[in-house]
Amino acid sequence: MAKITVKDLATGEMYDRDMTAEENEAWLNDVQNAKDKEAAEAKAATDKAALLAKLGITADEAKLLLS
Amino acid sequence: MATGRVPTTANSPLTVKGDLFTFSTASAKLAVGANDTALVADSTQSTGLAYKTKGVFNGLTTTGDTIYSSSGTTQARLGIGSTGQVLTVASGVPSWATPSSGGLTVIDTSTVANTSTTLTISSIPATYKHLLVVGVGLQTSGANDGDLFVRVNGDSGNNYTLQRMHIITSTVSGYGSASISGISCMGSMARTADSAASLGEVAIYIYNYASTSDYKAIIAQGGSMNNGATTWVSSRGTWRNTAAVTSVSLVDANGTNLKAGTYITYGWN
Repeated sequence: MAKITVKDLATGEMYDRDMTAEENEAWLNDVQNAKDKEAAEAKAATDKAALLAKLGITADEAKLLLS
Repeated sequence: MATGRVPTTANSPLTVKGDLFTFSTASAKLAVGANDTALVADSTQSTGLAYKTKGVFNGLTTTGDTIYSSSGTTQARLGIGSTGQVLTVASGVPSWATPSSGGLTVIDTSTVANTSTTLTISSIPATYKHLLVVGVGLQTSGANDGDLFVRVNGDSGNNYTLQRMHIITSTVSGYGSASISGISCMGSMARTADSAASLGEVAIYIYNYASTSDYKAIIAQGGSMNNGATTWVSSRGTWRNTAAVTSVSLVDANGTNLKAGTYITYGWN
């Protein structure tokens, strides 16, 4: 189980505790979302490079076309 | 009847209410002083006595109390203020007041040490207008990219809105969502193998956090050197809840621990 560090400003205490099942599920969801985002960004970069190659232009030339 | 220097009615020099019978080189009368003056020793006087405006010698009841003039020579007690208050002037007299503008007060400084995936700062006092959390030297213990999220009051539901702009080196991207589970702060945190000399930083503003009638606007800006590339994120989101914010959580979405970083929480008036 992943842990949370808690700083309680009422007491000044700082301690680690296990996540609750709900917190752990939410955190695992965050991790999956981050991985999905990273994969999507990598795919977008690959697709962009492939399209530029197909068109036979550079990224700067593509920007010029869109400006 | 001989009575030494004690005067009899017949030879008394006392003639007016309040007169005192005293002595210099001979018997002498000391007339009563003005209202609110006190008799004090004064070696410059022939009798060694004088009526003078009272000094600061009474009225104090509590540690930190001060005495001031409420009007002319009239003294008044000013009780000590509370922590964080400053001495100011209102209606011509001093008073203690909470700073009304421009003040940042450090509420907390916490450093993570690779023991957990989340840092939660709880029991935040409701005594400020806004909150600012500044994180420096931020790093994940993971080997891959991963964001840092901010959440409030432990709410991990899709109860936030988000508009996010992300720049990696010089490539700009962005997205928005009306229903998401946290506010993106970093894009990609510095990985465990990244240089300790160039880790991440973030600034998170939470406006009107103690309000119980408004949704809470959150603005986060952060960046890092991640796997050799500079990355920067600017996010604006809303926690769609009117409850006062009492805790703030920083969540490593990389799937690993928060390896390094110091978070300083400020109250902002």
